[in-house]
Amino acid sequence: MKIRAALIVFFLLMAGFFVGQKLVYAQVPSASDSSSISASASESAATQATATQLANLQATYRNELTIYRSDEKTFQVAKDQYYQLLTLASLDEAVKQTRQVMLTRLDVLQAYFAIVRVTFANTKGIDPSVKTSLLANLDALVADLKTHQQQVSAATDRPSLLDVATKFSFLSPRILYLSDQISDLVTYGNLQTVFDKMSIIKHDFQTQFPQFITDPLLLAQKQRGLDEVQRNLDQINQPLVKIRTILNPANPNQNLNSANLSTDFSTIFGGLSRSESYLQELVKN
Amino acid sequence: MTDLNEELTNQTLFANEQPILQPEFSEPAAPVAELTSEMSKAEQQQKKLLIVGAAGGSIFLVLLLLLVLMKPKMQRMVFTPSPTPAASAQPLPNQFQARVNELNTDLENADPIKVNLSAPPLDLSLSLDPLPR
Repeated sequence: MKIRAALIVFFLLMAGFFVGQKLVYAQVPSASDSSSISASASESAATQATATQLANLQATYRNELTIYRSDEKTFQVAKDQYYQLLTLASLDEAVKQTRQVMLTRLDVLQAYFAIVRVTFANTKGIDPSVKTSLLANLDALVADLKTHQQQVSAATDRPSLLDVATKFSFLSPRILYLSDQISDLVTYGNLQTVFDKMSIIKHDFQTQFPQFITDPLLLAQKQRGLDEVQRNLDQINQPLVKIRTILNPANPNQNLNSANLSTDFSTIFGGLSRSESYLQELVKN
Repeated sequence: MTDLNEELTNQTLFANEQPILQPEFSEPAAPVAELTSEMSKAEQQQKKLLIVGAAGGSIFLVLLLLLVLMKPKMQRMVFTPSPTPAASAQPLPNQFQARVNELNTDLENADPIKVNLSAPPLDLSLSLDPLPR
């Protein structure tokens, strides 16, 4: 009897041990699951950090712009007064206000390019080599703006102010060019990202929807809808490729076509909106 | 009286004066053959138990060792709920619905009108004196 009891206890212990092992294995997630969870968590944390950083930069930019507007008005008043009175006192005041508004303008530009840099660096859907090249150009421009700020700070009389104003006139085309170029690339990157995601969703849906739809009529209807989405995507892809070529810094004729980009962006956005509403319909039914 | 005193003080006297021939009280002796057979049975059972226990224990230890060696880097997770509901836990149509909804948000953010990175409204040519051409 005692031997039997010992054997039963032993086998019960063994069975309990194996069941316990299986339970432990069942709770261990696969490597892909845990990595995807951690990746999505880190991605959302990074997005949150970027959003906070951008909010702070935009607050700084708005503040600097408000100060600039006030300084610009004061400068115009002082300048007009000088040209009306032509006195030394009014000249002193005009020189002082010119220097002040030039400094404030540089503060606004630096705050603006800080926003541009963070936004551009975090925009997906842009060729990494293009991004690296333009970020280097942007950093060089910001460095030149800082140098110029020192020159304006050192300028205290009329001739030196004319000198720094002349130097700034060489910087302003670069400012406008980079601002337009990066703004267009951010718009393009956002649209390209939506296009890529949409293509993936459409592909996944096409391969998986026969698993959960048994009605042959409904299957055919879904297939027709997916074909329409594909036609739309094909149409959108053409202007996307065109814009990608135009916005490449290696393209020598990029400035010639940049004016027409807003029309292409509207066309792409309209096509994407239409395809998205088609997909919504296909998924709901 | 003296004898009684001597008897009380001398503690060895009682032992020495034990009656030798009086039979001592003892339990009835068991038959020798019965005793030896019961002892051998108990010993055998104990031995069997020991052998079975040792064999079972060693098998258990070997199996435990094998399992530990098979999964050297196994992480034991103790009933911790996942931070976000896994997408795979949802039915397939719901997964697509969630993905299309997310796409809709991305599309709203990608509206070219909303992307406002145009240059700030600054007078880039301001100067007290006209700039040389």
